[in-house]
Amino acid sequence: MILYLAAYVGLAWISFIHPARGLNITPWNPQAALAVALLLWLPRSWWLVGLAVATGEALVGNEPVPWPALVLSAGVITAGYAVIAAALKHWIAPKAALATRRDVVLFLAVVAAGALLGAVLRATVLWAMDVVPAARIPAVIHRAFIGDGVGLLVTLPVLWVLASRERTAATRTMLRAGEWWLIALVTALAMLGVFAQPTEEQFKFFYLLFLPVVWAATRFGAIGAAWSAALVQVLLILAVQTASYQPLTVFELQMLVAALTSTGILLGATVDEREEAQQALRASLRLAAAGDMAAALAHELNQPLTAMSTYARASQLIARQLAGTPQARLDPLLEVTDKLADEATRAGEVVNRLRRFFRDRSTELQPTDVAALVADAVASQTPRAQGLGVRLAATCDPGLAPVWLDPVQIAVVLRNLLANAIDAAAAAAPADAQPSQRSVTLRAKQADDEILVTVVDSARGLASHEVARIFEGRRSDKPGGMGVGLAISRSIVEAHGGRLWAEAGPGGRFHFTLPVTAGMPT
Amino acid sequence: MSTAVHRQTLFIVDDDPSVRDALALLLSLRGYPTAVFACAEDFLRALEPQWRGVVIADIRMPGMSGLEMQQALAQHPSRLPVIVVTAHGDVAAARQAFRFHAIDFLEKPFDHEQLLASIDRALGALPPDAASIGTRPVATTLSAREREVMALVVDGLDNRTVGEKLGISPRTVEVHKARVMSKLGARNLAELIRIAQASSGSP
Repeated sequence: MILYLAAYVGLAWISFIHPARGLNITPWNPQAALAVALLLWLPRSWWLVGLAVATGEALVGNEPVPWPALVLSAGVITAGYAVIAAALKHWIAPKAALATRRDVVLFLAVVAAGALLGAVLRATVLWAMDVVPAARIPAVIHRAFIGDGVGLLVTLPVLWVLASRERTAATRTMLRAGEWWLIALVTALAMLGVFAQPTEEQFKFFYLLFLPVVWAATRFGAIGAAWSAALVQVLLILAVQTASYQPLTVFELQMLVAALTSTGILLGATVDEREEAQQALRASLRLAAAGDMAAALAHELNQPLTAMSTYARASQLIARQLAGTPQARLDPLLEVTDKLADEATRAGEVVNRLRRFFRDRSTELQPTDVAALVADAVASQTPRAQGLGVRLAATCDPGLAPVWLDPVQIAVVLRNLLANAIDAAAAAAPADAQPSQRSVTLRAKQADDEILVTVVDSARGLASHEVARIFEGRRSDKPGGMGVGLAISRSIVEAHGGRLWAEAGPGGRFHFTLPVTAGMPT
Repeated sequence: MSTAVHRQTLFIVDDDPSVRDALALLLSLRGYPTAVFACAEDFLRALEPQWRGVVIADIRMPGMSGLEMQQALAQHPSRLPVIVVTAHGDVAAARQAFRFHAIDFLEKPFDHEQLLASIDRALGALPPDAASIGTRPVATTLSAREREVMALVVDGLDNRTVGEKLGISPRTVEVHKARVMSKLGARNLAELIRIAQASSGSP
């Protein structure tokens, strides 16, 4: 809470540049995004937002505003933010990425309309309290609109990215890509290029800044566009601070940043959408092929498995008929044949469930203890890990809620991720290496209404460009691997309403989520 | 094989020699007379009206399928009951099997206790399960949404299609389905289909 208050006032202070004459209205209000983000994710914190706005208005700025006007103005500004947050929540799911054109267009529309509404309300208050004469009202609206609008437009997407583990991981992956730093360098050079011009020429060269943003959007999607637009904004503010500018020019520059950011995010979302569609198509083709194979295999395997379990049951009957054999000598045999029959049936069960999953993505859900499922999967992989000299450890948060899931299918996912990680860890370091260099760790924890499972290995991990391709399953790093295990795992997790993703190294990192409550009928 | 079979006999019709052999071994050790056939045509050619017992038939066989054989048997004077076993079960096959009054529909590799129970039921040694299944109060136990989901699932639609028809997510369909199964005590889809057919009174 204190942190938020400090961050809000701090941002307000940092961004308090080139205010409009006689008013504390600046051309860039990133703190607006902070306020909207807080209202978006913690709607009950409106009082905190109001307090921060009032504190910001009181502490920052060089024009004293009378107290009643300050309080009323803070209230109106908070109400404006609340309306924006509510609209965003209503039209765009707070968890959804800004990764579809629909989301981005709605986002832009809500931000523009919300900022305009806030500006009009604010101007009305200032006018009603006699702080501003009627003649300056249009100018006040214009300034406040641009300040809040650009602040939201540039900063909110970045906060949006940071609010999601998956998109934060994508950001880390992006930061490990050399290309991102090249884009950052080009941004800085373009900025120098623009500001090296005489003041009156600078607007003519502003288009140079579009190049790195568009580049980032095409290469890294909406996330890349959001970060690169934020970078442009930060550099621009720095440049403006070091040079002397008329506030009016700064406002005009901000209009350009707004256009730049909108273009970037919209383009990034288009790229994301296309990439998603392509991946979905490739995945469905691959899964269709795997499904055909699973169907054929199911038939071929189920016949001998049936014969095997039936022979096992028959041998139990034969053993019982052996006259004169003491029961004590018979029992171990009966026990072993029992296990034999059960194992054959279990193998058939896995085959059948996978076949059904491929046929129509069906799952057989039942309330399941995730910790027990994890323990089973770890136990099944421990002998292999020990054989390869890999240390395998798992930790589950105590008190994980039971989840409706298909235990057979999720066990396939867990075993698959663990087996891949064990192989990678074993291949990466020599057998006599330190145990910490040959290790696999699984962690399951509850985060909001999801359970997050993370598998980390000690290998070098994936490079940024490999992260997306790893799910295409075209090739496998494992000599005996089919290369479709990850694609299958991902579609199993998605059929459960969760997500599975990889993160770039160091260390192989795979995460997947399972919803705890989502989709539960009441 | 075509020697007069007067006692209650188990007729195993499966194209896989190992499955055939293993089943015959197990069931004869259990004390049942057994007869094995490698295809539906062989069995129907040998079949005589006075034969008594149960047919255990695979679905996928070269030539006539197990389901076609079941239809042919329904016309036959012997009126032999049929247990369908398959390595390739789906909703459509299960529906068809039960429409022609199959005693049970088992997916390979099956639970042998379940097979033996079905055989006893078919031989009249156990009370018919269908009657007790028919009395399960589908209408009162399930919510309206669960009944909708059940009807569509039993029609053989996949989750995505069911979800689209009802305006809910495939996962929600799955959860409804899991609840329906547990409320009705159905251990698998085949049992659910049988319950649905029994409760609607028509196939």
